[in-house]
Amino acid sequence: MDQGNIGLYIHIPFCQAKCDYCDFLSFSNKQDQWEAYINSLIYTELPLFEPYSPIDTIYIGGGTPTVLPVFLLQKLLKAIPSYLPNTEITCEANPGTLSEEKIAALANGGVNRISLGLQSWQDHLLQNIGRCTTHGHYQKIFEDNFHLLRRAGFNNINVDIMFALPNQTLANWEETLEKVIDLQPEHISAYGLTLEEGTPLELRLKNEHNKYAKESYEELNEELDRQMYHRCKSFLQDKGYIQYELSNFCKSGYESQHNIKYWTRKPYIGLGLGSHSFNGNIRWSNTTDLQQYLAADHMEDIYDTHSRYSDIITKTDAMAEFMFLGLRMTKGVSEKNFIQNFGQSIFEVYGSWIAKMIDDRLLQKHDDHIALTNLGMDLANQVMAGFLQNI
Amino acid sequence: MSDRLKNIRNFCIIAHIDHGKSTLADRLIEKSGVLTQREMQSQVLDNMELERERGITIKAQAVRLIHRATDGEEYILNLIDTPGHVDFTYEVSRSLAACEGALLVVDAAQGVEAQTMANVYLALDHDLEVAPIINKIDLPAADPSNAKQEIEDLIGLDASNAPLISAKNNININHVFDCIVSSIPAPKGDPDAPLKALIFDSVYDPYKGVMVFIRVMDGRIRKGTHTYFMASEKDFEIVEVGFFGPGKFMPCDELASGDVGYITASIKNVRDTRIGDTVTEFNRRTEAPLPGYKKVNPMVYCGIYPMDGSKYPDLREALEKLQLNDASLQFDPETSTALGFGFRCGFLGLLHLEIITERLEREYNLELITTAPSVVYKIHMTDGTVLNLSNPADMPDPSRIEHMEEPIVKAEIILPPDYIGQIMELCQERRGVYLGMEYAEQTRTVLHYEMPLNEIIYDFFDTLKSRSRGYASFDYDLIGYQESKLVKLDILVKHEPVDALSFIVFAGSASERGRKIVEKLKKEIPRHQFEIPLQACIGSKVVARETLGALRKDVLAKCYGGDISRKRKLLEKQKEGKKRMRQVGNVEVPQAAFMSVLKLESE
Repeated sequence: MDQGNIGLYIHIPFCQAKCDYCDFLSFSNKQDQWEAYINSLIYTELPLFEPYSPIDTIYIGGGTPTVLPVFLLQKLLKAIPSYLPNTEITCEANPGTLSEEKIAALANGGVNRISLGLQSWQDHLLQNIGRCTTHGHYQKIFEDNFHLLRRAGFNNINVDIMFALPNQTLANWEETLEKVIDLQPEHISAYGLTLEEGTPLELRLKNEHNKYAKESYEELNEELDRQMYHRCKSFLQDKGYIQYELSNFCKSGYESQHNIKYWTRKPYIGLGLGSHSFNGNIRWSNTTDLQQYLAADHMEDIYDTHSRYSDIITKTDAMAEFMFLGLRMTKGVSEKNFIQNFGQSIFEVYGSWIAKMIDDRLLQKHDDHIALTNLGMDLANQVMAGFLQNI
Repeated sequence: MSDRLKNIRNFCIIAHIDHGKSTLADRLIEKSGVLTQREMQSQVLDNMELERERGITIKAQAVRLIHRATDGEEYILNLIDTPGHVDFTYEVSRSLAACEGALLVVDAAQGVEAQTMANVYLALDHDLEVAPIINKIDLPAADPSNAKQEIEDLIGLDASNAPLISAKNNININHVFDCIVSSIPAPKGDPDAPLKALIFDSVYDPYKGVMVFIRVMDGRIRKGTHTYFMASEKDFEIVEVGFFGPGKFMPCDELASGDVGYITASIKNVRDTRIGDTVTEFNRRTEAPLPGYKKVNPMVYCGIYPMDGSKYPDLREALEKLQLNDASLQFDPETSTALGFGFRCGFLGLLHLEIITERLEREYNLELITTAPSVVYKIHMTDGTVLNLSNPADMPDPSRIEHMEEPIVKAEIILPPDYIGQIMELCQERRGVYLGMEYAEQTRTVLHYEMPLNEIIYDFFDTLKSRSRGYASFDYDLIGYQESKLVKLDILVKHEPVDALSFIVFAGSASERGRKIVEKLKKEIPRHQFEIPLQACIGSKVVARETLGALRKDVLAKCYGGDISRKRKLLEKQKEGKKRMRQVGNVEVPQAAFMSVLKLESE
């Protein structure tokens, strides 16, 4: 299998405050451990990492990497191993965590793409979901940060926005879309809120409604959720953005190269707490225990030996992944690619399911590609589950 | 009376569940000295794992004890174990007919319970001498004098000399032996008269064929006797006769009048050995068979289907095996459009149904879907014929029906007075006709109702228990058939009738029941890409309707930082769910939905 170049992911598990809907691995009250964490990452984990192919994408995610002070960001960026020219280097940031100095540090450290977590234009909706805001100044801070980035020369900026938030109206959503478009970012990620079990938001809704909060909240909001999603698609298309993945839109040529690696099963190495890696044959992940990570001095201490360490991907698994990941992309999966990878025709393996899905108008076929229809994008899980082996 | 008969006692033990019948039986076996304590299984009589777990005895079995009394006399004590539930009333009655007396075990803390009384009356009906025993006297809550008083007040037995014992802790077991010898009459009978023996049970043995358990009333039976079974009209040559040793069969030369034992005769089919039948000699027949024989007919039917359609042959084999030892279990193949291939099975009652399905699942590792239980309706057709209907799917067109009849039972509910209001309301909802009420004592009331059986098989036990916080106990007895206005309720999923969900219901309850079912289905069936109307119909008339909205969204917005395993697990879960679906038209219905409609009130 052609494995290609490596994507590098670096996880910074720290935030100013943790949002109520968030079930990512991130801590809000560990300022005293920031430096120790960066040290562990640079001095313990990085030396263990031996790139067997050149790196051509880097993604620093979180948490909120930009909560780190300038000197730690500089230290981290300086330690990144060598990479190919024109490597896409993304760093996530939240409005309010960027200063001129910090932006300069990012730019000087090689970062050439910023992903800004706006989520919503309306302050009160953000307060609803416990997202750290700045009491009325949020919109201005966001715009200021954006302009600062532009002035520093960042010409590839993503803005994250969310729909299906509690109490969000269609008008709220349209306003968010318009305000974002006014700034002309190169890339927009539009995510529907997922009510993850055990998060403060889910627990709160459970109390407010009933024990079936997750189902009832999502069901009640389903109609509006889809209205917002469909509105978003047509609106962004009108404004010259291309939808290239279920939740991702960009101006031509600005697709996130790093994320595409996930969807096309290219190898990536994750560094830092709880991060995931894939070398083409095996998937593994790092420990999620911060204290263990900080105390680690062996590879064994870093990897999560309990759960997914050494998840060897069989051919059947790989074919299923090829389908359910590849179909996230609007251009879908390529028949030719499938044969090249697996030596079998896609129809030989999945013919009857593909036929059924085409029949149900969830999949469509264009020349060499099989892709989700618009309806299929709403019901993608229904399509994707069918590609799993009979379990 | 001959010396031989003088030293035989045939008896059974009557007790409410948990009052200590099996423990006492163990103790008697142990004390009779046939087995050492080490050899004892904790409960020798209850062979089946299931029996032990449920604390009840399913199949009657017997054991012969040798008791040496203090005066040096040796007694043969035949203990015949009886099933302890109303579903097996007939089997109980035949076991009782094999005895001269019964020990009535009453829990010193609990006193007399509904079921105990039903069985005592059955024993008294069979002219058995009933000797009360007060058990569990060592419990902190024990109140032996109150228990005695209850026996006298509720049953009308003299309990003044009742032994006070603890079977569990081995207190005063000797008194029980004395009581058996002194209170229970020795058997009568003429060993030289023509053979007359009562079949009270049978088990299937793969090597010996059916082993028939008998009580010899008159005459003798030995190897080579050419016998005739009077009700089944079959004749067999006896291969082996023997006694019931504790936990094993002990062959012997001969069984004579007064004896309890087994016979084998290379009998292949348990149906040839009907409980209650009379065994006589082929060439020297007794004048008349023993009274009381009844052909047992199932009262409750339901469809049983394997969850995994490929397990159909396994299910057939399992049912065949169970039937070897259980002649009252009936089954015939049936096909359901929703559930595929399965069997329509007939049972003596709800408990019998539960026991069989549990054994199928546990002992044969089958996963099952059972359909709503049905009783047997008598359908009087316009052309004058009468049809016995046990499967709602076979209901004829209403225009050809003159009228219908349903089975009626006499129900007795014993409960603390605090719950009378709730339980009377429940009985009324279930079309009960109030017959009367007795205040047995301050803490106990007996309610008498006449009720259609089809109201009882539908979630009655659970509702009774939940509305009385578990305090009410319940017993019923079939008394006959009654004309009633009944309709067939069909459930339609997206306009397709689901045969496995159809049932026959009193016309006045149809729309209420239909409404509950469609509400429940709405919760159980996952949403599809299209709207799904769920309807309850009588003929073409819709009596209840719900609409399951279309699924508009099923998509994961994000793949978190390359965590593909998480996504895969989610999809796997979704796919696993699909595996348990049944296709109704183009709607996928989870297996659980078929079962959930059986319990509509218990939430």
